[in-house]
Amino acid sequence: MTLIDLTPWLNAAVATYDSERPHGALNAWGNSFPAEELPFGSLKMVGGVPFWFPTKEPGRPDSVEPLGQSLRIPGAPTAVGIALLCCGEMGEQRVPVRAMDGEGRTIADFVAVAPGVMVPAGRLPDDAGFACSHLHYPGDYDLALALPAVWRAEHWWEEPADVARIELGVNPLFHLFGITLLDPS
Amino acid sequence: MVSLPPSPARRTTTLYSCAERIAAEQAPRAAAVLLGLRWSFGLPSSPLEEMTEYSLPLNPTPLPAALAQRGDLRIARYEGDDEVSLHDYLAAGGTAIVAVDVWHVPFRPAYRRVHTSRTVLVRRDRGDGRLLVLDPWGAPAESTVSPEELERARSSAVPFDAEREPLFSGNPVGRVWFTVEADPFCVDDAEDWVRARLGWLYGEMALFRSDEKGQYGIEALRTFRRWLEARLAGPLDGEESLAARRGASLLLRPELTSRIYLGVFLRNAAHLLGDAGLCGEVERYRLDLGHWQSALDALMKTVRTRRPEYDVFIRDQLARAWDNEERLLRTLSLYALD
Repeated sequence: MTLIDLTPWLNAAVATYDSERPHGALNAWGNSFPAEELPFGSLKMVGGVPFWFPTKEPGRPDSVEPLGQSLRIPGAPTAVGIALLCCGEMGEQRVPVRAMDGEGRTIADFVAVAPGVMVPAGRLPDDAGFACSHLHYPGDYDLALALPAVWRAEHWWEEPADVARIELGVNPLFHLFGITLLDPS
Repeated sequence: MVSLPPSPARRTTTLYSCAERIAAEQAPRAAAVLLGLRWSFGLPSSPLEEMTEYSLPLNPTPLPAALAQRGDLRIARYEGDDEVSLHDYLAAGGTAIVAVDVWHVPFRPAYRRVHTSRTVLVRRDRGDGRLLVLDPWGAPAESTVSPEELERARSSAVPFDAEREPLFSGNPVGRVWFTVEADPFCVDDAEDWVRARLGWLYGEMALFRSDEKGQYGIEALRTFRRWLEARLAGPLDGEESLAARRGASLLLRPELTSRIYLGVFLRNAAHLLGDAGLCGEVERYRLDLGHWQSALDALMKTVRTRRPEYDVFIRDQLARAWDNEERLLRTLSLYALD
């Protein structure tokens, strides 16, 4: 497995610490993930796949909204698939993703689907994702009724290939927390 | 890179959602079809920000009148209790759709936290004078309130709160409420029934109309398109930009909702006629309503957070949504009435 560090591409802040709940921007209503419950600066296993969460500073971006970025992958590791840790603002969201080798050849060209970010309390995801214990509101309070969740999405290809670049399409309602390349083993 | 296929259009206003629930009790399996017997686009001449979460698409022939004529679905709107008393209606065993400010609804998360207006279903509870309220918003919840609590919720001014409720605050509830009645769905000649309605739909798309309240038809949609694109090409920030984004969101939301139900009717119509060509066009129309949904969701996002890339996405999704409407116009032209 190759865990991609998304730090260079962070462009959205969808998690807030308790001291900064009014600055949430997960949706038009200013909700946000509780930052204390996301493992920023460490590894998180989701359905058997490890993801790396970049370090989070209060008020600073913590995730990636796909806006046409091209992610250069150091060392072009060999992989047979890709896993995204993601969620959809306002319900299910989709974004085109293309994995390319060092010669610019396309390895995989697919549409990633992120389930909606909110799950009702009591209906937590199985190993397809995980939910936080509460949702932050901009009125400087939190509730445990609708819970913010992130989900694992995977795409596989047939032959092992060296992934040198990942291109993201455009959908600002798609939130990306981590990318892991899946090796042949 | 593969192009972005739309996520399904899925969100309905609480008024449509409540109306479907009541209608489904009286006309099982036909409620969504009966709510979709209308194509409409109304561009109000009044400020778009005066629209509410539960506004219906504007039309010189009000949507309830059209639905009553075409499918005998009867939606009545009341302001206050002068004509008919809400509490008398509930006491007689009726289920009403009531506009409320959820700030005053004790069992909801917004209680005494957020002024936000929408509609809920209300019926009499068993005997003790309390009222059973079903709120379809988000994760639906049901509980009871006292008549006094409901009155406070019905009478709220819903003060504007840009921070906590940038969309559905700022307009008083005005004690608005609705009733819905339907009969079990039954027609003698289904094909004739469907063809007549497809013809009416084409007519209201193609015919440009205007009055003191606004302008209507696909030409009004084209006008709105030019207006919105000009606003999105202008400065990102500032009062005018924010007002345009908020107002356009409030306009596009009920219009999308009406189209989601229209899609249900069209699908049934195509199958009833056995028209494979129409079936294909209708499925494409329903799928591409997702572009309208994506544009709306991103537009709503920009009420709080704005960046140029968002507006590029919104313009692209709107262009696809407008093309979808133009394509439907061409499809329905085959059913134009003489």
